Amino acid sequence: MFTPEHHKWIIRQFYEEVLLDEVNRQERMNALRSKSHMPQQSVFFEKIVPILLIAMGIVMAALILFAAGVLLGIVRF
Amino acid sequence: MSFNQILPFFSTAIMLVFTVYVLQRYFVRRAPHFLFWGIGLAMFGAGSFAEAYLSLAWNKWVFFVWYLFGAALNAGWIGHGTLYLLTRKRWVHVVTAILVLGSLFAGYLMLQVMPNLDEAVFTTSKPVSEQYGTKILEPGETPPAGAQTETRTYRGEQVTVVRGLLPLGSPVRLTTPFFNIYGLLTLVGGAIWSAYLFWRKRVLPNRVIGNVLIAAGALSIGFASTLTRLGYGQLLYLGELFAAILMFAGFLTAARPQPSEEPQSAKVALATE
Repeated sequence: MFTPEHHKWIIRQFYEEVLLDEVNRQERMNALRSKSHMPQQSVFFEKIVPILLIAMGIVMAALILFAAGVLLGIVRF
Repeated sequence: MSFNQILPFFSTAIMLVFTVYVLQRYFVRRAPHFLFWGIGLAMFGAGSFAEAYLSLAWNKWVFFVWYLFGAALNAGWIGHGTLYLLTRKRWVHVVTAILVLGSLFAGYLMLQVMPNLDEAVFTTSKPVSEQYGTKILEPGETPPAGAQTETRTYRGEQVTVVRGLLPLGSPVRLTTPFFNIYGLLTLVGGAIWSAYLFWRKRVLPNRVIGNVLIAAGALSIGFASTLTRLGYGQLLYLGELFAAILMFAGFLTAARPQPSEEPQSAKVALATE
C-alpha cells in the first residue's frame, strides 16, 4: 500500500530526476551553444574581425608582390 | 649583448614548446598537417637558436642552419601543413614532392656557397640579419653606419658593395622568395580563409580568433623579413618573437576543445533537440 509518505517520495523523485534534470540539460545545452556560436551583436565579431581579415589579406598581397619583385629583379637586394 | 640580441633566446624557447606540442599531436592523430607544421616549426626554432648562437660567436654551420631553415624554408613547410589541413586532394602530394625537392635543392645551393662565405665581416655586435647579404650600393646611396664597403667587378661592371657573409648574387638567395611566397600564401592565406569560413557560418569563435592570431603572427615575420631585405634587419628578431607568441597563442586558441568535441552524450543531446 502507498502511504502519503510514499506519494511524497515519488513526487520528489520525479521532480529531482526528471524535471530538474531537464532544466539542467537545457542550461547545459544553452551553455554549449553560446560557446560554439559567435555572440550576437558583438562589435568584435561583426566589425573588427572582418576589417582585420581584409587588412591582413591586403598586407599579405603586398608582401607577395614584394617577394615577386625580388624574384623578377624589380626590387634589388 | 643588446636587448635585440636576447630576443632570439625567447623565440627559441617558445618555438621549442610549440614544436613539441604540435609533434605530440601528430604522434597521437597521425594527421599529416601536424607533421608539416611540426617540421616547419622545428625549422623556425632552429633558425631562432642559430640567431641566438650567432649573437655570441661565429660558426659557419650555425649560419648554414640560420639561413637555410630560418630564412628560407620554414614558412613554406608550415604553410604546407595548412594546405594539408584545408585540402585532402591528391595534388597536394605532388606539391609535397616539389617542396621536398626544392628544399633539398636549396640545401645543395647553400652547401655550394659555404666555402665562399666572407667570414671576415662577421661581428657579434650586430644581428646576423644585418650582415648576411652583400649589397650593391647605388650611386649616391650611403652605406649603413659601421658597414664595410669595397669596390669590385661584378658582371663586368665596377660596383661598390656593402660586404656581407653571402657572396654577391648567391643563387641560394633566389630560392627564398619562392618558399616565402608559398609560405605566405598557404599559411596566411589559409588562416584568413579558415577564419572567414567559421566567421561566415557564425560558429566556433575560438577558431576565428585562433586563425586571426596565426595569420597576424605569420604576417609579422613576413613583414620583418621584408624590412630586413630593405636593410632594416634590426626588427627581424622582434618580428620573430611576435610571430612565435601570436602563432602559438593562435594554435592553442583554435585547438581548444569545443562542444562538437565534447563527450558523445552531449553531441547526441544537441542533435536530438
